Amino acid sequence: MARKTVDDKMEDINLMPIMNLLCLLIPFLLLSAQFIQIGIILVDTPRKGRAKKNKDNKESKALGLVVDITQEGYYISTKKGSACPERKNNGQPCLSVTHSAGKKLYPSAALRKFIYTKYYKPFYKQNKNPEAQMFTDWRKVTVRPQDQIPYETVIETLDATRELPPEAKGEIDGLSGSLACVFKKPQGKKDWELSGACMFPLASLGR
Amino acid sequence: MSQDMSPEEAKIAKMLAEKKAERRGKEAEESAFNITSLMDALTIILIFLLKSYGSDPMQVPQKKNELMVPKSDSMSSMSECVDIQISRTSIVVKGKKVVTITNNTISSQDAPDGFTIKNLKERLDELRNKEIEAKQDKSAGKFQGEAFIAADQKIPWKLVDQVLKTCVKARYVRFSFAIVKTRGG
Repeated sequence: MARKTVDDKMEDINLMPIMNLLCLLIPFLLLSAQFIQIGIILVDTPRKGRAKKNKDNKESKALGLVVDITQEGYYISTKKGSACPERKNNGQPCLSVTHSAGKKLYPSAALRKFIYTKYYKPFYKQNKNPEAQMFTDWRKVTVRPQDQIPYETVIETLDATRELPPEAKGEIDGLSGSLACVFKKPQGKKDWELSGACMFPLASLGR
Repeated sequence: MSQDMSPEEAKIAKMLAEKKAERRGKEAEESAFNITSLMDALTIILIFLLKSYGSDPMQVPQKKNELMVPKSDSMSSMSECVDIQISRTSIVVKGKKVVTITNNTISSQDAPDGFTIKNLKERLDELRNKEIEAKQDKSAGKFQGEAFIAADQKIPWKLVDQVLKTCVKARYVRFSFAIVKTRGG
């Protein structure tokens, strides 16, 4: 008699309708899903008021890193002048474009390495402490593309100035894990916060 | 033992034995088709899909030869703000088309001074005023002036620059560019 009761209870749980529902919902969600992950790059525009204020107060302390994207390649300069004066005098950019299969290729990996070697690695220790920084505009870069430069080249350039190259892992103190520079907006806060390993993540775009 | 039973008793015992055997067979058949593990797997997939849907505050429709967002190493994720889509044929603000683009340029009628896009500025002013009013009602702090720009990878920088300058004139001063993540996170 007791056995009969157990059997009856087992028969009550009919999973088939739930299974049917799940089997319909999953294909529907899979079909309408986007399998790419959309992220963001934070940028700013140069503002006259802010630039003037910096000039008046602490011009001598600013690095003033600027990357110009032209049809010929990348021109890199700081407040002190061109990063490659000899090439500039010959009318050549610091890093020239190459051509492959009729397509222009911008040397973004070389740009990343150049900025890292020349401007990040020698100065990062002096700029580690935010209260006693050597440069007032540390971590800031201005990117100035020419009008006809494709948008994807601008994004490539921003990636190159923001992220550290792979060799930084053995050369920069305190680097562990992945070399990723991430902007995060904590819930309830209005400002973005930087985390991870960043080179020059605060980019101003345009003239 | 069956020899001690009367024919009636033997008949009942045979019937009971048959019934028992039948039930055992049925149970064996049922246990061969166990859907509990399948249910578990399907439930996990469903939860994963629903969760991945909920994590993106905004969707960027990718259309070939129209709006393909560039790839990037960036691992930052977006937050909700005014979204502007610049495709090869139009500029769309919060789902409403405001300007037509022909041959990667904006006509001089739409941008009389060469920089400020008239219709875009009007639409942004309208959205800004709405946002300010909504924030005042909810006392949710100041207007942030953040804009999210999803532009096609092949369009020239001049177009993006015109949009940025118009945004600055409409007091949208912080920008996030949409990209397709090339690494997880």
